[in-house]
Formats: sequence, C-alpha cells, structure tokens
Amino acid sequence: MNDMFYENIDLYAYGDCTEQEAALFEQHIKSCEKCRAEYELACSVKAAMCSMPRITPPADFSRQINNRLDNELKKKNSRRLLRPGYRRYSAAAACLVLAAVLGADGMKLIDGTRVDETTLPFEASLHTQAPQSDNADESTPESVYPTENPVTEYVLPSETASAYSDVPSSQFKPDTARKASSTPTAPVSAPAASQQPTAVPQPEKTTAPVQQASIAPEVSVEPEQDTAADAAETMIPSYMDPRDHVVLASTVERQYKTTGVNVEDLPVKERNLAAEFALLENPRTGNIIANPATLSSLEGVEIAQIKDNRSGVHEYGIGSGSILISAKDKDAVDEILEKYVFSEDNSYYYFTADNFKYFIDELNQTGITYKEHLIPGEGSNVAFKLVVA
Amino acid sequence: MSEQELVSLLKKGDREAFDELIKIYQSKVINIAYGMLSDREDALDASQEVFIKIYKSIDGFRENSSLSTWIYRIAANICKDYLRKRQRTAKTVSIDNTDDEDNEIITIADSNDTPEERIEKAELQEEIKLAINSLSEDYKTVLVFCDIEGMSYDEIARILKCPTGTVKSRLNRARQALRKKISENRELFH
Repeated sequence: MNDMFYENIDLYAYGDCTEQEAALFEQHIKSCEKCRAEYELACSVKAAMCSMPRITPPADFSRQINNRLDNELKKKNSRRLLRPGYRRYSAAAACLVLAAVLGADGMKLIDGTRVDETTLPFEASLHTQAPQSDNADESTPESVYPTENPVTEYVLPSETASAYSDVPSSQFKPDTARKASSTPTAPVSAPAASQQPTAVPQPEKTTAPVQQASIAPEVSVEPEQDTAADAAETMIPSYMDPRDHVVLASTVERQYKTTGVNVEDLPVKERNLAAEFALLENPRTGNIIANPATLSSLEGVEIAQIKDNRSGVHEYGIGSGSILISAKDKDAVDEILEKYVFSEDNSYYYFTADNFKYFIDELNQTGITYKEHLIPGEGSNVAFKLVVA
Repeated sequence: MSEQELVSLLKKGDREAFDELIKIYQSKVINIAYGMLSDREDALDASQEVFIKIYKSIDGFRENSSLSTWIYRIAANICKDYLRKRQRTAKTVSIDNTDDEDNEIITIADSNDTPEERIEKAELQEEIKLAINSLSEDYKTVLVFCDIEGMSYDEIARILKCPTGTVKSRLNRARQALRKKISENRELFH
C-alpha cells in the first residue's frame, strides 16, 4: 500500500486536491483495497457530517438569556452598593430621578439662559442637595451613568492638584453640566415645591423612588466649591472602587499636562476629544489608571500610551494593560494570540479570563520572554495592548 | 433591520435588538456548541454565555469584520473554555440522542436514504460524535465549522483569525484524525 495515498485520502474524498492528484488517487484505489475502504469511509463520514443531529433552540431560550443577564447585572449593581461612598452616588442618583419625575428639562440649560421655573434642572439638583442621610434610597440605577457616556468628568483633588503646579487650581471645578449636556454650569433656581410634576419618561432601569419633599422652594443655587472627597467619590466610574483611586485630571488638556505629554504634538482628533474619560491614580501603587471605557475607542488607545512621568508604569483599569514583547517573537506571539483572542480593537486584544491564562501559559511554555503591566481581572475580560520593542 | 442598525442598537443596550440577535443566531450558535461539546445541556449553557458575552462586549466590536464572524469567534472560544474546564474536572459526557428530559435531538433524515441507510447513517453519526469528542479542540473547531455547519474555508479563516491555508491543512489533519479514530474504535468494539 502506498502511504502517500493512504495518508491523503481525505484530500481526495473532500475534493481538496488538484485534478491531476484526483486522477492518481482514482487510479490507485482501483487496485488498493485498503485505500479504497478508507476512501469509502471518508466519503461516508463526509455525508454523515452534513446531516448531523441538530438541537432545536428551546422556545424560552431568549427569556432564559435575558433572565441570566438581568441577574448578572443585578449582582454587579449590588457589588457597587456595598462600596463606601455610594451614598453620594445615591444622593446624586436620587436627585436626577427626582428631576426627571418633576419634569426637569435639562436641555433648557444648553443656551445657558435662565431655567424655566417649572423645572428643576439636573445640574441644579446636584448642587442643592446636601449629602443624604443613611435613610436615603440606596439604589443606584444604572441609568444615572448613561451607557453612551459611562464616565463623567473628574476633578483633581486639591491635595493632588498642588503636586502639579503647572495646572492652575482654578481649572479644577466640577463641571457636572457635562453629565446632561455640553453647556457650562449656570446659576439656576429650583422650582417651588408646590409645582406638579409633569409626566416625563422614567430613565430605564431606575429603581430610586421620587423624593419630592426634599426640594426646597425658591432656592438660589450656585455651583458649590468642590471638595476633594466629593469629587473623588461622586465621579469614580461605577466599576471602580472609590477607595482605590484618586482623581487626577479630567479634560484631555489637563491629563496631558499632568502626565507631561505636549498637547501640540497630538493629532487633531485627540486634541479635540470630548472628555468622556479620566485619568486616575491608584494611591496604593502610584500607578496611573486610564478609564477602561476609553479602551474601546481610538482615543482611549492613545490615552493609554501616555507615559506616566513619575513611575513609567501604566494600569488601564480592571483586567487590562499592556504586554511588551521583543520584535523577534512577534510572529510566534501572533500565532498564540490567534488561538485565544476573541476580539481585537485597534491593537488591543480582548480575552476571556480563562483564555488569557492559557495565552500566558503558552507564552511561558514556548519560552517567549515578555513584560506585562496588567491588573488582574475579577473574572471579567482581559484587554491589553501588545507593545513590540 | 440591517446588521449595522442592529449593532448600533445593541451598543445602546437595546434589549429588543438583543432579542432579535438571539433569534437570528441562536440555532447556529447552539449547534456549534453542540458539535464541540457533544452534550445538549452544556451546549445550551455555553450558548447562553455566548449571547451574554456579546451583550456585554458589543462595544468591543469594531465592525471591521461581519457580526457573524465575531459571534462565531466568541462561540468557539467559549466552547474551548468549556472543554478545558471539562478536562480539569474530568467530566464525561453522554453521547446519546436524548437528554435527561427526553427532549429529542432532531436527526436530519435524507429522503433519498432507505431505512437501512438511515440506520447505518445514524450509527455512523454516533461513531463520529464519539470520535470528535476525543479530538483536540483545534480539530473539533474546524470540523464543526466546516463539515457540520458548512462554513467556507475563508469564513473559518476569518473567524479563527488565521490564513486560509492554515484552515485547509488543519482541516485535512482533523479529517484524517477523525477517520483514524473511527477505524480504531471499530477495531476495539468489533
């Protein structure tokens, strides 16, 4: 028996050989019983695989998925509620919900004109409400952080601001107007408590009840002087523990100034970025943390490349970072990456937590040297940028 | 609704769009998982994870590949996770055609087959499932995507992010391994 034919019988059975090769196979199996039997088996297998038994999706499959998703999202929310400082979230959240119920029309602030007295603007509500007591509603609806803009502007705490003397402290004021619109904050008046709320659509997924009694009539509001604690605790993204982060800078310009990058050297697109991201500092390690939400955008990738002018180390939020490899290993690493990655986004590779472990295992097994700057994930996806030296 | 519109709505967290996505892709995803995991319950469980992963990671979809490519890539990776976990826990799977609740798995009958041919095909399909179950995850993936789900080499190459030539050679080796495994099993049991 000719081993070459026997080993490649599947090429012939599945039509993956040239006409010339097919003719040779056909000739061979006429005289070779063993190869003919294998060829017939290969053809039977091919036919059988085309009609393998299939599963019909259960009728309630979609409902099962949605229930499971809701449970996972609820667990995520309840983990947030356990973090200290969430009360300030709930104060802000309650105010926003209240404003929505009373018919707040934050868009009236767009032109910076005096607010209609029948409405309570989102922005004013944040400034008029004192921190809630322990009895305040403690649910933080996800809708407080709109999905399109999951991160609001952050403010440099005064004690950290002093470390960056090139950034005037007057720049570091809360700009909560950004949350609802792009207008600057303006002094506004709260409506009289007797005003009836107009019907407005409730934010999706909200669970905070209306607290009408807490609105004081005819309150003149000025933007409050922001304290470091208020800034840090109200502005940290929901997926980060506020105990672990110090807010460094908010707008693009402030971030670049803070970290020593010359804004003029940036491409125009990045200079004109909306500040939907933040740079934070991990007070335990001193590492700079970029908002993981930025990782899904080109802007975020560029932010992640900012060198920290103090430690040179980068962290990119939970389960993200960079891995540095040598140029000579690039091809080998690419091959391993392809086995485990599930998504790629402009040089950032996304893995499930398990697949990331296998990826690292394989790097180690193949003797590829690498340097990683990563924060371990909490069972979530891992994303990193592959940096080639 | 176009794919672009669907993706756009998904990125906004639109649950109706998510339901629409599930409706479009559930059968394919479930059967890819079934092909790789050979167990109905694991296949359904893994498929749920696939869709949940899609919902949570849709922002990471940059639309430089088709949505289906991205979805099937996620499905393959999650199935591989399951296979590795299964290896670690040394779980055995039943290769029966019914599950514990007697929900029958549909066998596709070819109207041209005689009853005897149908029986032979069904028996061969059991042998195939047993043999596939013993193959490596890379071989399982290409066999399921190509020979069971009927995807083209190019499509598989996009899903697995490797060259088409790699898919072809891997598939050839997988088919060879499958055939050899079936032959070995026949020698063992007959």
